[in-house]
Amino acid sequence: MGKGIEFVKNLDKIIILAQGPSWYQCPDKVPQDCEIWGCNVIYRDHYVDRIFIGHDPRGHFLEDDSNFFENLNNLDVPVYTIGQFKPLKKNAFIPVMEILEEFNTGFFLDVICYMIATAILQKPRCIQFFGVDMRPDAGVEAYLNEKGAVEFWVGVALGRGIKFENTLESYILKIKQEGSFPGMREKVKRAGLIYQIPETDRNMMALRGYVITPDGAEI
Amino acid sequence: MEKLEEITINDKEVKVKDLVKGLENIFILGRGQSLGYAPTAKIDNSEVWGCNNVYKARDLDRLFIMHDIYMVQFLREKELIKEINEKDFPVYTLGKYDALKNNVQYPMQEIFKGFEISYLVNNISYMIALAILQKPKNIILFGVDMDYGTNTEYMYNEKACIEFWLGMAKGKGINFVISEQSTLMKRRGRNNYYGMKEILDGFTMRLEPDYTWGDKTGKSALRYKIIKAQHRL
Repeated sequence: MGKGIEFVKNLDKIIILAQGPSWYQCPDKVPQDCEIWGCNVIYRDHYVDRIFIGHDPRGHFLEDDSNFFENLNNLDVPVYTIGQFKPLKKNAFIPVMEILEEFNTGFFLDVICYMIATAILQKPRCIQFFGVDMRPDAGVEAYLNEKGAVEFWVGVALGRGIKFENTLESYILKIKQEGSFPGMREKVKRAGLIYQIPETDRNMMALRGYVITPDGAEI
Repeated sequence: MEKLEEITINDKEVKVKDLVKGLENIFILGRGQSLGYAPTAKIDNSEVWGCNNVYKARDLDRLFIMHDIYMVQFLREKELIKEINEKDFPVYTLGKYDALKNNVQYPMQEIFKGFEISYLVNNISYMIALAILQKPKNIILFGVDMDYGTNTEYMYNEKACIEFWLGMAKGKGINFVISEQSTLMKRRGRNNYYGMKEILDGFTMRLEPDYTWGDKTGKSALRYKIIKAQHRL
């Protein structure tokens, strides 16, 4: 049985697992007083205790997983989102208001920021990153602004005396650009709705000839 | 890894101890346009720290020049050494410069001991780190604007580094204030609440989930399907 929606205070470690190339270094098994918090569709590649999705999660039906909600329900893990999504069995809000009350700071440029801030509220001994790489080649917007926002919340954690660990490959608190590294592992191939249509139609123009409709009642 | 050697305290470096703990405000002044909004009058129980040639714009309590001073003099300020020697403030540098009347070597060892972090990629980050160790109530930034597009290196690395140190301040219970003109803790063209939209209610703001996919109210199906439709005949 998966974890309940309530967060656990004073854990030894909260691992924040994102989708950057160093994700694979995240241990498969962790001690009881450690939790793995994943973002977006990382559950397809690695075990997680909790999932956080900052944007509208339904976008993942198209690109990543045509059975997205059903697969999340089968995992039986809490899924924290900004909005409410009733088809998800264990859906809860990311505690944005609680974070704002505690820190009086609104600086959440990606889901990782919400995750770190939420983790700080649980007062773990340590926060560890895997796959939070913020690589310079990940995209201009991500590197220009999101990296700083993630680093801000890392700073808050450190300032509160929480230990911080990260992979060598991550660019958090670093500036130098490096290339790919040995031992990279391929991730599970994407399997969203878009991959059900002919490959020749998977472009911006041809996609206009398709419609996405609910396959059942909307609740 | 080789252990860092302790910095020997000599007569000049003793000035590091002159740093004042528990001030109400430490003002950190950069050279951006919002420097113009920095107060000109002396404020009680506060210090004003500036970088490079900011001493020309405001009276300072301490000056920080983390580049080689001869390079700064050559590139930016032809009379730099002469001018700062006419002032009374200590000048913090990474190296030691006999040419400076009141030179203090930046207490790097203290920073490493205090934070166990070596992430200092510009003048301002050194200044904030040292300010945090003095435990002021507020750190107030003027002229630290990090203008979008100033240049790539600036935006990629320095903005993020300053934001890290502001987070460190926040985590240690120190308030910080950023001038409105600064791009620190902002992103271009989007709000600061990922996945949310800001709704203005008169003078106040509400945050609501930003449903961007499918039904815009958030009503959602368990599964979706994709079908071909010839609607653009």
